[in-house]
Amino acid sequence: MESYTTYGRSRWSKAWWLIPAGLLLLGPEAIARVVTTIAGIVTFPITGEIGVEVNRYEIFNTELLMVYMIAAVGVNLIALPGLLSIGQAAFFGLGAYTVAITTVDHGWNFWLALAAGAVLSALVSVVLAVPALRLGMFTLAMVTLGYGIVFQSMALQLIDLTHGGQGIQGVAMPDAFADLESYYWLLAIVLGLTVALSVTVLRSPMGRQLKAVGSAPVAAESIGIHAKRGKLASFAAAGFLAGLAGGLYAPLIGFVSPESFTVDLSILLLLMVLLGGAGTIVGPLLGAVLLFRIPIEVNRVTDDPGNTSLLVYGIVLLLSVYLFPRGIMSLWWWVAARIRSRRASAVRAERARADIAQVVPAVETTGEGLRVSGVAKTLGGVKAVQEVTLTVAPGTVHALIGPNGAGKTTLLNIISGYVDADKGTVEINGKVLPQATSARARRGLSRTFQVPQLFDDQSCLENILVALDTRRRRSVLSYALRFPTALREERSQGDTAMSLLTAVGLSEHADVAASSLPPGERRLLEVARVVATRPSFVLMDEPAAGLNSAEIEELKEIILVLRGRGIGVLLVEHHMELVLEVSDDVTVVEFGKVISHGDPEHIRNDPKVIAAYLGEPAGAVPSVAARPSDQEPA
Amino acid sequence: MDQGHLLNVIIAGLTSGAIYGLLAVSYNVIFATTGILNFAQGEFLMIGTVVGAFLVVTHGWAMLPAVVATIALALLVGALSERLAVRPALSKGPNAFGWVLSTLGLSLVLRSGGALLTGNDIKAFPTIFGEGRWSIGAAFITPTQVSIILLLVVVGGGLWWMYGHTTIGHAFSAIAQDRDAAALRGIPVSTLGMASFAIGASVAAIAGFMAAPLTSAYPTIGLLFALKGFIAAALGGIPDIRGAIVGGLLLGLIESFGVDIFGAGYKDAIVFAALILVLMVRPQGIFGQHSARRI
Repeated sequence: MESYTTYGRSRWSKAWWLIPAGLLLLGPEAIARVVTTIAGIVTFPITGEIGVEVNRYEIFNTELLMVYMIAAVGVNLIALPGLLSIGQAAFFGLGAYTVAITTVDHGWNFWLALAAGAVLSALVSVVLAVPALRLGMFTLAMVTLGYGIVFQSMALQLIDLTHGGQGIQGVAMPDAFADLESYYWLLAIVLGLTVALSVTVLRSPMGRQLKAVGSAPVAAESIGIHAKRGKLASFAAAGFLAGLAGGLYAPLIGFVSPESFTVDLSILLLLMVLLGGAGTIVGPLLGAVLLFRIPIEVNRVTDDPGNTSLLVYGIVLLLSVYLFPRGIMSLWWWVAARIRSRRASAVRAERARADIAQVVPAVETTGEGLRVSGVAKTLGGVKAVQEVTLTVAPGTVHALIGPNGAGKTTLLNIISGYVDADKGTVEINGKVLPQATSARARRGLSRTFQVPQLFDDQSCLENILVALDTRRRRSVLSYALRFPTALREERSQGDTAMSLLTAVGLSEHADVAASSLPPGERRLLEVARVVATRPSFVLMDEPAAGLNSAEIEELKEIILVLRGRGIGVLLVEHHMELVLEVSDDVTVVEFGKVISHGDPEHIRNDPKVIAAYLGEPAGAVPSVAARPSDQEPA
Repeated sequence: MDQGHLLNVIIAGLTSGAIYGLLAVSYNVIFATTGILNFAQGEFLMIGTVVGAFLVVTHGWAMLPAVVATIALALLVGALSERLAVRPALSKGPNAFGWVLSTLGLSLVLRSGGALLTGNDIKAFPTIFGEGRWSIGAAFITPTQVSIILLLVVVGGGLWWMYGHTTIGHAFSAIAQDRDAAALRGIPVSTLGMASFAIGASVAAIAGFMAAPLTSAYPTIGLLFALKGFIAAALGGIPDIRGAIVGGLLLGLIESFGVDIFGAGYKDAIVFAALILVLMVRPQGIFGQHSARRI
């Protein structure tokens, strides 16, 4: 992956994407030569030749490729939060038909028609996505596939509007770009802007958030990201780009007909992105070059072009799952990581170790705190939580203990908003909290999970940055335009994120993908991410599980710092030593009911607690401390 | 409309609905054990029609050996698909798109393979149980229609019974509920995943074979059925087998009445509108549980 320690600093290494963008300035012949060479290298084993003579036909092909690239960049934005569309050809077709119908039949100005097609396409995207996003990725994929099929059959059916199967002839290029040579420059401008948009989104806080939604939706909501809104925005942007590309396609080809916008084209656009590398800048462009050119190259040497190219596509895809399941660009990350690991050790030594106390901002300690009153929940006929009431005062640690299956995790899920309670309320300082998890997180309620939920595809530093991002003040636009204020904010967020990582001892892993951390460090990273959301109240679900004794010490230190800064902590934990050392208050639940409440000393000696835990009278620290905490059902 | 016409619309609806239902069943069988919705599912149906036509029409085989050979091929292709395309994708770490890439790739390979093997043209397929027809009042029903509807009842009902009443069925259900826990209790999760692909592929293929007299055989037949089978499954509630049966028949009726009222040109649009409506009103489907979110 890219180097993240250069956040916000203008480095030439971050501007390498200007190279492909700058290539566009070389003009149509040069670009045609570049793309035919790239594809020729891949197909050399089949065709035995690299590169072709650049004639008008190849320039036309190159311009068609550029049109598809614009749409593919849009598909990439959809893939970012983990979604798929198999209907982009129909959005593309919507743009193309809009331009054809309005300019040919109604004499509209081309530019107006182009804009109208793109906007219409974005609107239809939103209308389809709203119901589809209620279910998962596959439902959206099928809804878009259905839309693609319906679009084609409607284009055939609504003859008055679309001229049916015969299509609309004579779509003209706009005056200023009226021949193939000059039309290239229009496409170059639009493609350049599209790539710039993609770079901006991918590198902006918004891109990070979308990626986080894709890799761990539950965790993304727990730090305050409104997942659905982000998905909708990316889908609308993709619809816009597809419509725009379609609008540019119509005059390039000169006519539109239903056969141009098949499901195969949708799949092709999707595969360009997945093969090249979803979520990368260059991936979709490279994927487009390969998948567009390979059949053209292969067709020189086959009798049944259509089916042979489908077969080649299929084989390329199946092979890619073995060779580079995350796209061709993942090969580049692999190489880059090798190079970096050689260079990095020198840099690391410079970093000072930050004190955790300095990176946790103090919060207001006035008010009653987090109050859970009369909460009850029945799950599958079992009364998982019955009339539980408890209060976490600011600047205190409240431990929630009880045997496995006592309902602790369910209660935590109710408090953080993942599960609706059958009755009862959750409030902070007397105000009832909104239901959505992300809204609760933005009110200062943050949590960790029994099994740490990290954004695995992103670096450790990015995991922290995503959480910091929810408190940003600068708009996306100011990032897009690289305003100094936005760059300054990015830098200071980066520094904060780095010191948080340093505070939990993970600074050396800043650039490493979170997926590569061992279990104990995953947990510490998750705790650091919670701190980054600047919470007033933190819920921790068995944070000590899987930590070694040194890591538990570190965790204890962090919890005490949180308390010292005025943050209220609700701690679900089986590790009794830790519980008794850090807690101000302890609530014990069994079978969903509170059976005891008091300070640690009281709990330690409460016969009911001892009976519930051990079934036998005992002295000092209950020996459950040694028991490994296994997972309990939610 | 008169009664005979009404009955004819219903019979046509139930027939195409039975094909959608069978495909929905095959989606659910695979989804339950592997957790993926297979993009190549329609191509398994394509294998049934195209290979069936290849054997029966092109090479003059009798129906019985042809159907046995087609099912055997589908079992093999299904199992190989799981082993070569799906399992590697699922095992390559946290990449949500791996299986999409591989099942889409699989569908392209199967479709183009079918086309290269048998050609692109549409082949008519002879009836399997004869040309006759029975009259029901003023309406008619053909043996082909009866056989397709019966096939759904037998295959769907049989699988439903198997899931509820046999050890292997319980093992499938256990995997559907919690894959990791099932593996920990010694259930051979990946072998059963392969088995479910083989079963799912053969269910789709036999549906394609039996439907071929009505649909004819051509290599691109899979796509539309893949979509409609999915809509039927979504309607019924994934991955409930009863839901697939009911959802399929319901979708067939919706389509048949829609075509009768609005005309055949709007067939796909009507079906699609049904999907959007279901997603808005009851996203979990008819038999679906509103599952608690997994944390």
